[in-house]
Parts: sequence; structure tokens; C-alpha cells
Amino acid sequence: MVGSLEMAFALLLVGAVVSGMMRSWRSAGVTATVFVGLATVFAWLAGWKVLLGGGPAYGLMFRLPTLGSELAVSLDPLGAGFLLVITGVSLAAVVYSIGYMGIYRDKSPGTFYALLLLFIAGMAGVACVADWLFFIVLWELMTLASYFLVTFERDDPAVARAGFKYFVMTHVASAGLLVAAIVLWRLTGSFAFDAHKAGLMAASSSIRNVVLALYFIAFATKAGIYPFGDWLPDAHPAAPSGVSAILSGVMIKLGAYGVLRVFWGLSGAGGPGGMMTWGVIVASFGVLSAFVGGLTAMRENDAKRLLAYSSISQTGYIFLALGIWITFAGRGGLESLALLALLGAGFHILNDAIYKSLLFMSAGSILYSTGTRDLNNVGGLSRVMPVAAAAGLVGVLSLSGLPPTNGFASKWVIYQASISGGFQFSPFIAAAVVAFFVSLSTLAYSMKFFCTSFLGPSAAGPEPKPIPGTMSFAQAVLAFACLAIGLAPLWAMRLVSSAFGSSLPSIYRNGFLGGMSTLPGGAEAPAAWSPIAAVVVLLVCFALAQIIRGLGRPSARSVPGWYGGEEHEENDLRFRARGFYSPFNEAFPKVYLHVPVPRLPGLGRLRSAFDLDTWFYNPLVRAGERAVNKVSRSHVGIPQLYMIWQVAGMVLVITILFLIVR
Amino acid sequence: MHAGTIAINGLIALLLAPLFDGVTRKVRAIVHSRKGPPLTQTYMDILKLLGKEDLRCTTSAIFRFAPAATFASFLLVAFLTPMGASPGTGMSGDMIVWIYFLTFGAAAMILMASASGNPFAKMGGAREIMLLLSVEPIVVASLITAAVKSRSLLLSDMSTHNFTAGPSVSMAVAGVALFLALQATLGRLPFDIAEAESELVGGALVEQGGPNLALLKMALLMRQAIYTYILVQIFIPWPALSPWPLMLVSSAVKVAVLFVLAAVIEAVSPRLRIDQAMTYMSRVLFVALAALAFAMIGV
Repeated sequence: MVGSLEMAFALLLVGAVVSGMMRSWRSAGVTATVFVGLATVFAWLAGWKVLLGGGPAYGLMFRLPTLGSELAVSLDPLGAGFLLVITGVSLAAVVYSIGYMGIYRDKSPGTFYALLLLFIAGMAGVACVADWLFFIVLWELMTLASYFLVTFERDDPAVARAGFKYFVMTHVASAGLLVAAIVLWRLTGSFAFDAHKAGLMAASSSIRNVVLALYFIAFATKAGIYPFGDWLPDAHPAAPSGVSAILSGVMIKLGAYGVLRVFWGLSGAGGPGGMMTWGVIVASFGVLSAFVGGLTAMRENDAKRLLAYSSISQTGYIFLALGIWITFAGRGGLESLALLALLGAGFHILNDAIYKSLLFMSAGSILYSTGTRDLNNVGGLSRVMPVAAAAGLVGVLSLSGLPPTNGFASKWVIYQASISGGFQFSPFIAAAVVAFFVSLSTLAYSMKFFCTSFLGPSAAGPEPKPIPGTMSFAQAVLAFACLAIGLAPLWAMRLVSSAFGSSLPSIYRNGFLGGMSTLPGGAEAPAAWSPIAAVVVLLVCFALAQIIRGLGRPSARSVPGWYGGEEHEENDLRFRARGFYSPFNEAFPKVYLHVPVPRLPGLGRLRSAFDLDTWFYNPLVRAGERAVNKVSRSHVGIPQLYMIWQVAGMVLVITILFLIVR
Repeated sequence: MHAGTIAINGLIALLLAPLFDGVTRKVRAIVHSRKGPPLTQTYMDILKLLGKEDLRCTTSAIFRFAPAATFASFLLVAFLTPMGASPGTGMSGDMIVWIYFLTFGAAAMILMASASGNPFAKMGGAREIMLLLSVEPIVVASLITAAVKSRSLLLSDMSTHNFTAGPSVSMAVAGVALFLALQATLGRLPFDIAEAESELVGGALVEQGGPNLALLKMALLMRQAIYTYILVQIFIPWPALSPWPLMLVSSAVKVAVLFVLAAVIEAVSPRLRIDQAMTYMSRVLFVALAALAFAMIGV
């Protein structure tokens, strides 16, 4: 079993080398797919075994006794759950890339696939270690590989800028992660997850809160939580679409994984105080992120940027659920509520991974077919790529959380958790109302995305080209997963709950809502709504509608559309993306500021204050550039001078190491 | 679930909803000093449309089947809505399912409008979403107020709460907010104008004709009835009558009264532009949020 996990990593690394030597896009793509496919099979074998109660997997590689650290492949149920999602979605994205990367004729396929496989290995590795030092090492591997993938089109200055922003922001956050780990290492003398947990429990509350804040900022940055994740809307659209699918589908979920790891067991019974505050903080950032992300996505006319904002919004839902879990975990009598929130978070991570990667692939198909991501200049693509359009429809329905898709199944749990949480702690009710509103704005922007690109008349300009079968195939598989999970959510919930080491039926016996809403007769509440029954009823109603429709035996006739009696060119008839919701978007800042708070003079500038680019990141980046320019002046090209620098650096490092290890 | 409840709810939604519309049209005519159509006019309109040709301006499958999907989802919502036959189906968390299937029907209509390729239809679809965005938070906030008061997410518990616990400030305020939002959820003036439907809410339906238009009309009428029934059953359920047929009749009468009220307001109001409607709705939203705040402090 452990063998199979190590096999998976070996396959990914060997695959990186082998596909890195390929010269043609097609052969490199197929090779990479074979290696990732095999690695996925092995990872799933190991992951399933752990999830289905086979006990955690553990295989030591080597130890660093002086540092109290060890590199081991260590897979517990939580990591196994993430491992399944990481490898599964990545495999779909790699299959998708075989066809998609054909648009990069002039680039090197070897570089791309080598980086992609290293990236996947880094992500899988993050889920498979139990040691913070190597967690950070693999986290960095993942971040660096993804940086090079984001800047794959680096000739484009916008892409280079986006990549640089991503690089700076995630590294500032990673530095915090490192500091947090080192502080706890000083306290415990070990880097193991368990030791740090114990150290965190024993630490004084000020140290504990500083460390938790560092962890939270680091993981929220990776997860794209507003305002930490400002790199996301620039970096995700810049990457090739297959990579965007992995970035949005999987990588940002690892931020949630980090939060789960840090707070896991910490907020249980006997844990330190102050966890409720942390729960509220996490939930508040989640709600803020969901709200800001959702409304910004409504304004966006760029297919991939729209989806990037949507990722920020959906991760907000996940953090809301995590916050509720942290708040109520281990508080007497409310365990089932905490568990409900935890399941909601885990389930939404799984579902968002599937439909968000699917939608990034849809956006990629639009880009592949028409050469543009601007929703104003596309239209009628369902005639060119019917399979991708059908998959995209399933994707947007899932994203907007409409039944009977998987997006509804998990949002249903999150709403239940936040409303029931609100019965205990009223602000969560407000969170639930905001979440409902955001879910409508999600419907609004997903409709904008789908309707403008796939429906309606075709756009002017060159004929859109059909997409390769591999791209359609990857999207169809993910759409199928959306529907399957949506129709049988109990089965998926059971998996999610075993990833959290709990069994689902026990929650059901407790009435699912902590005794709040039991059915008459005290029967075991069928708390998961039954989508199959709903779909059957819906189909019966649909059949009834068709019968009513046919009552008058109508004859069908094709007619031209009616445009007020005038004749138009097809292109004139397109209702462009920028026209969607313009009254709402214009009204919104007004509504936003009409919140009945005291009329402060600066309130009108609140919107610009949310624009972190102008007043924070850009100055930061410029300052970084200036600093680098200064340093570069010392590089005068004289080897002797470099030698002196190296010696001086070495002395500095040795001194620091001496001071620490002393 | 109770098969009887479902059957009764379905029959009410299918057969009574056009009558409510007939009442509205009659009242509007009376306010206008006109004679007005007979109460059964809406049934006749639907029957007439069912006998007409099925006109298709596009081959898109979404355009063809979305009307039936909208109809089916609103009928499904009608099954879940308490209408007097019984408190509700008791399906756990059915409030969320209720809201989302209403949204599902609206989404089907928006997809249909886009698939038709007609820019007027798309504009109507976008308008439908904007109205959803401004109205639905009010509906949700009112329903959550009832959820907090009855400490349950079951529509059945909410609809019996006012009997078991007596009237309360928060429920009353939430009921008022829901009533203020009702005009828009009914697709009525001042938010819409029946005489110019092809350019407004009818905008989404502009390319539909014949049997598909009949289905859509029935779907929209069912939605009006559903919203009104929810308001009546959860916020003004009195009086509690013991054999259920009496309750059924009294609920229908209360719903009809609300339709008359809505029609009077409609007949004497000017039409609002979408931005004015949103401003109005944002104010009503504060009423609904106030209700929620009241509920949280327990009054």
C-alpha cells in the first residue's frame, strides 16, 4: 500500500523527466497522460484504502535528527481525500491539455509537461506529508512550478506582471508559514504535525494567536480569500487553460487543506480557548470573499477573469463553512452542528474542484476555438462544440448551485450549517442571508458566461474552429461527475465524512441538525434531500407539461426571429456581455453605500479602497523592483567580487545556523 | 411524503392559478371603469394558445424544451408549498429546496431567452435575473425569520409556528416585507406592465408562441400563486380551521384577497424603471433584515 503511494510519486517524477525530453506537443502530451494516469491509479489505490478504514499509510524516507524532522510518505484520511481530488482533477486537466496545447506551436512542450508533472507531484506531496518542514518544501515546489506555468506565455508583458504579482504575494505568505513553523519548532524541537499541535495547545495565548494568524494569512493567500488572494484574478487567466483548471480546481483548495490541518483537533474538547473568535474570523473572511468575488464576477467580461473571481467567491463559501466548524467544534452538544459545517466545507471543496476545473476548460475551449476570451466577441458556440456546450451547461448549473447538480448538494449542507449555527450564534444568520444573495449573483454571472458564449447568434469575425476530442472528453467526464455526485450525494458525503474520520450515519441518527429538526415520529431523518426522487418528480412534471403542450396537436413551423419588424445582420442581433446587468452594476455601488451607517466623508471612496492594486500591491512591487535594481548594480561582472560575496554569504549563513542550533 | 397533499397542491396550482389571474384582471378593469373580461378569460387564453401553431425561430433544443422545464420546476415547487391541505411535505430542509427550484425555473427561462437569439429576449432574461437579485433576498430573509422563530428549516414547522406560538413582532414585520416584495414577485405593476409584456417581463418570452407560450404563462401564474400561498400560510395563517377542506378554502380566499389588493395597487401605480425598482427593493430589504434582527433578539 505504501509502495503504491511511493510508486505514484516515482511515476510523476519519472514522467516529468521523460515528457520533458519530448519534442512534439502530441507525443509529450500522450506520454504525460500515461504517466499521470498510472500515478493516479496508484494514488487512488492507496487513497481508497486509507479512506475505507485501512489505517493511515506511512513510509519513512529519511530523517533529519538535528532538526527533529523527517521526510515520510504519510497519508491519513484527510490527506487521502485531498489526494484523490488532486490526482483525479489533474488527470482530467492533463488529458485536456493534449488537444489544447496545440495552440502553442512555437513553445517547448518538454518544459511545459515537465513543470506540469512537477506541479502535480508537489500538490500530491503536500497532501502526503505529516511534517511541517517538508510540507513547506513541497508547498514551495508547488508554488514555483505553478509560477513557471502561469508565466508560460511570458512574452506577453501582462502575463509576466501577473506572474510576478503571484510570485511576490505567495512568497510573502510562505515566509509567514516558515516563521510560524520555526516558532513552533523552537517550542517543541520537532516539525511533526502532532508535535506542533501539542505545542500550539501548550503555548501562551499570545504566541498561539500570532502563529495562528500567520498560518491563516498564508493559507488564505493561497486559497484566494479576499483581500489576501488578490493575485488570483490576474494569475489564473494568464495560465494556459489546462493549468488554470488545476490552479482553480485544486491548488487553491490546498489553502483550505492548510486551514483544516492547523485547526484540526485544536478546537476540539479540551482545546485552548479563543477558538470561537478564530472561527468567526475565518467565517467573516469567507463571507466577505464570497460577496466581493460574486459581485465583481458579475461585472467581468473576460471569460477566465470572470471564473477567477468566481473561484474567490466559492472559496469564500468553503471558508464560511470552515469558520462555523471551528466555532462550534468541541462545544458541548453542538458537535453534530460542527460536523455538519465540516462536511459542508469538505463536500464543497470536492464539488468546486470538479465544476470549476470543468468551467475553466470551457473557457479554454472558447479561447481555443475563437482566439479570444472576451465574452463581448463570442457567441453561438454550441453549434461548433455541442459536447463542450452541454458540459458547460452542467458546469454553470452546478456553479450556481441549482438542483439536481453537485453544487446544490454541498450548498444545501452549508446553508443548513450556517442557519442552524445562527440559532446558536446569531451573526451566522446574517452570513446565511449574504450567502443566499451571493448564490443569486452566482446564477447571474454563470448565465452571462454561458449565454453569451454558447447561445445566440454567432459573432462576426473568423469562423470558430472545432475543438479536439480530448478536450471534449475531459469536459464530458467532469460534467458526468457533477451530475453523478448531484444525484447521489449521500454516497459522496459518506466519502467526505470518512476523510474527516467520522461516519455519516451517526450524524443522521442525531437528527442531522443536533436534535433541532427531527422528523415526526423521531425516525432517522432522511436529512440528505433525495435528488433522485426530486428528479423523478421533475421528469413526471416535465412529461405532464409535454402532454399539455401536445393537447391541441400543434403543427411546428420554422420562422425568422422578430425584431420589431426590421431586418438586421446576424452580428447586430447579439446582446453583448457588457449589456448584461448594467443597471444593476451601475446601481450597486449606490446600494452598497446606502447601508445605513453614519455618513463619513470618505465613504464614497470605499470602493477605491477595496482596489488593493493601486495603493498596496503596485507600490509594493515597484519598491521590490527598485530594491532589485539597487542590488543588481553590485553585479559588475568581476568574478573575484562574486567570490567575496559568496564567502561573506556563507559566513552569514553559518553564523545564523550556529546561533539557532547552539 | 403525502401523496394526497401533492395531488391537491398540484390541482390548486394548475387549475386555480388562472382564476386568481382572472380576478386580478377583473379588479383592474373595475378600477379603470371598464367592464373587463370574464373571470374565466385566462383559462380561455391558455386554451386558445394550446391550439395554435408551434413557431420556432431557432433549432436549439434549449429553446424547445425550456418552457416545459420551467413549468415542471414550478409545479414541483407547488408540491412543496403549504397550501392548506396539510402543513407541508416534511421533507427535511425543504425551504432551501423550495427556493432553489424556483430559481431553477427562472434559470430555464433565462437560458430559453438567450437561446432564442433575440436581443429583446436576452434583455428580458437579464432583467429577470436583476429582479431575482433584488427580490429573492427579501423572500429569503423573511423565510429565514420564520426559520429562526420556529427553529426549523421545514416549511411545515414554519406554517404552524404562528398557531403554536402566537403572533410576534418579527413575524409581522417579515410578513409586511414579503407583501411589499410581492408586487415584484407577481411580476405586476409598478414593476411591470401587462399591456406591454412583450418588451418587459414578457421580453424573455418574446419569441415564444402557441403551446410553449401557454406552458410559460401557466408556469408564471403558478409562481404567482406559490409566492402568495407562502405569504398567507406562513405569515397570516389564521384562523386555524380543523377539517382540512375548510382550511383549504379559507387559504384560497385569503390568497384571492391578496391578489385583489395587488391588482388595486397595480391599477393605481405608475410603472417603475428597473433601477427605481431596485432602489425600492433595497429599502424593502432593510424591512426584511429588521424582521430578521427582531427574530434574533427573540421578539
